[in-house]
Amino acid sequence: MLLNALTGIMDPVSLSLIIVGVASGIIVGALPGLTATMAIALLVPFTFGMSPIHGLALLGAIYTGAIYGGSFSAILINTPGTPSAIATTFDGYPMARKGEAYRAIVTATLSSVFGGTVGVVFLIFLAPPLARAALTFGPPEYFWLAAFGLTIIAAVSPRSTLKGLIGGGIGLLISTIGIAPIEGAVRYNFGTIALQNGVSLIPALIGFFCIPEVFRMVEESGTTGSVVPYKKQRKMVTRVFHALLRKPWLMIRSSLIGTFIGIIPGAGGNIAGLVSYNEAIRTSRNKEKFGTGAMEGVAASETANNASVSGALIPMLTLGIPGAPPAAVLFGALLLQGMRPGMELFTAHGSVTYAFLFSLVLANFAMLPLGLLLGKAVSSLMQHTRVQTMAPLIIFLSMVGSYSIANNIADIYTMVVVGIVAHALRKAGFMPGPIVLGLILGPIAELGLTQSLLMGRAAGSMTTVFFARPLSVILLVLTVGSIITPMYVKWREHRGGSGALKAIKTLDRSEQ
Amino acid sequence: MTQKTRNLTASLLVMVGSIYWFIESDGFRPLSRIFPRVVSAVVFILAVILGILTLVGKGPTVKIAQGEAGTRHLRAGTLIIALVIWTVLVPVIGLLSASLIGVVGIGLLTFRAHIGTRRAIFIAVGVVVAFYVLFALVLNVPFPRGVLI
Repeated sequence: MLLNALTGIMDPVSLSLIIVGVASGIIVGALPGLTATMAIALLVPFTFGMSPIHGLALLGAIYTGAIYGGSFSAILINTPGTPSAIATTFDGYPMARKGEAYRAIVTATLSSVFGGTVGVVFLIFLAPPLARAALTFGPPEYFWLAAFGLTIIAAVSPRSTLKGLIGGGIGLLISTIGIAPIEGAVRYNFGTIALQNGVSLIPALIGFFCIPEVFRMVEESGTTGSVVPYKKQRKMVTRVFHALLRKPWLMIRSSLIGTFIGIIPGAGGNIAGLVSYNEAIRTSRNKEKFGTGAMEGVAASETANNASVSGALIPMLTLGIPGAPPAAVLFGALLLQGMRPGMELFTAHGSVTYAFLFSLVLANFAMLPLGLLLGKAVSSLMQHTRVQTMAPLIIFLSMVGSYSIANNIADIYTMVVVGIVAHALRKAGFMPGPIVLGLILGPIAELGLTQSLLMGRAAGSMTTVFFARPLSVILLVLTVGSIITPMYVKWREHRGGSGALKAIKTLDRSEQ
Repeated sequence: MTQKTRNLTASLLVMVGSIYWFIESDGFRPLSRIFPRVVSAVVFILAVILGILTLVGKGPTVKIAQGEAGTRHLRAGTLIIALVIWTVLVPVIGLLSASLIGVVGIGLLTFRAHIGTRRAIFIAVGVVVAFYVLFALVLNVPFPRGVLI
């Protein structure tokens, strides 16, 4: 299986797609206003015609490249290209202002490669045993797992826990449209045949993640800040490499923080970067250097946010719970290829899944030459491109993509309606991430609940089914904990909490 | 619209939606209605909490987009109208023709001011045709057709 996976990913087409994916991802990530989630959502339908290995390798490469690409604008224009690079601006831009832009870019590149690779190694070794463990889950465990996924994403919602919870609830309600999982009743279809099978997932994902971005582009016709010019310097890569080698704990700690924060549903690269940056300050002997252009600050943020890419894929591949919005879109891509998350991915579809995981390793290695080679071109693009000009093109691609999945015009209507509603919800402070997670977790939660009720009826006790199984109890405790924790954090903040926690709350956007 | 009005409007709309979801579930069989009922009840309670917190001045705040409010609303409104017209035209005249109109229309809204009307139209048409060639002719992605193409 592993050999098949290796041969599958080492063919020229796969390698070319990885290079193209990483390069496009870097460009998307570097341009503020374009997000990794949006790029993946737009491209998912076009991978439908590709082989699963090629399609997933391309999407994974774009995800990897985009998270790294965000560091370019963070360093050169003090604006994170993706929210994952927020913490990179703290020291990256001051470095650029001091004439060390190239050093900052090389630091970001090497750190991203290191963090990304460590993350994939964890993914390769953690995912199969986790998927095996998931085989022991029964309906009550799946119900509590879905509940936990929803409460945790609400808990880490940067704007408001309450709105995150309501957003998740809205997603759950949308997921009830269509045929009920147990009795087969058609629900909430408003008399239309188009909604009889429920809301189509991919058009809905495109609507949630792409159209609100278009609205933002149209509304905010501001200009990009001026790009700090930089020159390549000889031997800089070697010098930075040696400097990072002298900071092994910083790199390892940041990679671990990134991977494990990535695993938490909803807590993506933005939170990973901020927490890792905060830890770098906390453990440093030269705390005063941070914020004035410390290389360690850039390294901490970039290592963690790239490690979070693979972290976010762990719960998605094993349990069907995406760790971050781009992983939610990749979940849709898996379904489109006829693959369902769980143990089956590592057995029946093992060669495809492992090929995808190996493609992530290659994508991380490809970042090194591509990032350094494309640096100048990317900075020039940032200077001259107005993302607003891409708004009509994004709508056009959204329409073509939505239609191409099932050759159904109703999918275009779904995408447009969802997009306009998502824009309105965003205006009211309900971000797309929790809503989409609700939409994905809804069927898992409902099936778990209804099957558990049937089990309870058969056993003569609902309490035994829901509250007496060891795994259910653990998940229940985690669910309650994830609701209480943000309240505790808020209370601590009132009494003067940590910088990172405050920074997390000031995040402008929750998606990547 | 102020933060308070936004939160109260959102709270009210979510309450109405969850009540609708709850009442509508009456017509379903027991196992089909339990989940929507539980979720709509929870969402209703959360919306009530949002409303109360907003009224007592402790509601969550939302960052409002940059730029003058009137212009933002006008641009967003125009985009919604353009999107609806574009979508309605797809089955009538085909995706390519509708997209030509849509891309040019929205292109004029988004980047005409920076590059001029003629260049905006030229770029918009060029981009649609290029992507049509790529998708429909090279990648064989189907395009819905109407009376035009």
